[in-house]
Amino acid sequence: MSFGGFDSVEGLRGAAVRFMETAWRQRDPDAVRALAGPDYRYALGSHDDTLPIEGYLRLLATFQHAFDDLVLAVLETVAEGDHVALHLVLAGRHVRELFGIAARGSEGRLDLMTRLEFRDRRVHRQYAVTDFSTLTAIMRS
Amino acid sequence: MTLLDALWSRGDEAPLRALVSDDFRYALSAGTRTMDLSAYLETVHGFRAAFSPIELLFHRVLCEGGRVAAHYSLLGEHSGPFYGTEPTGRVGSLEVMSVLHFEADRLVRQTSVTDFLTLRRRLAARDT
Repeated sequence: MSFGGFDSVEGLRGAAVRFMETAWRQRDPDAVRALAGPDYRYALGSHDDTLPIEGYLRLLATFQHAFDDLVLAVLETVAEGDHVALHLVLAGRHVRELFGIAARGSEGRLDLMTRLEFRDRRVHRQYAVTDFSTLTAIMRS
Repeated sequence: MTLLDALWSRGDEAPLRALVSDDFRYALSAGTRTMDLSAYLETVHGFRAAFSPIELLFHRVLCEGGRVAAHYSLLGEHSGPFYGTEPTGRVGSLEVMSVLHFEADRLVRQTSVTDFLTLRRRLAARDT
């Protein structure tokens, strides 16, 4: 059984959690780059229009700029083969414009599920489904 | 994932009903609002009324212990009202990731994250 280059499923799971925590908590682009593979691509859903790591970092920066006090919680992981699915919740306070919606100081939580595929112990593909309806409702509240 | 395919593609509740526990709960996101089986089925049938026929496209299914994570798309022709958007006749795609929890071979909980907003925007954008 392959675990994306790790010796065990727990090693794979730990790397997946570390990648998401580094991306959302540390605000350190170089640390995120170090965990992504050379051919990393990010896809919202399953769509073909994917982003390289620099595009993903810009996406992160956009959210991190718009929300203060961002807290990431990993609710659940399911790992098999080279893949890990994570159910995450982001909580924060909307303090700057995002997607054309002015900040009102609203606080809320956003659900997302992400699937990471690893190769050679680094993230090769990332697929995310985000509950944007709830995010928009929070920002307008 | 026969139960998801049967339910969403054909409206066939039998595989799901055969698997669920008496206290099954369905959650859209991890919020406090959860649904029982009948409310979940009502949601499914409401979506099926707006998009028909529906095809499920599975991108990946992961199994670990008593949990299954499924990443899939619901593809269907927009043939009925959907969140205030009149039918466009276009094919819509809804991205979904779900985690299903099994205990003693019964489905006790399903949590799904979907992107309704992107679907609605795409339908609206194609109308203009």
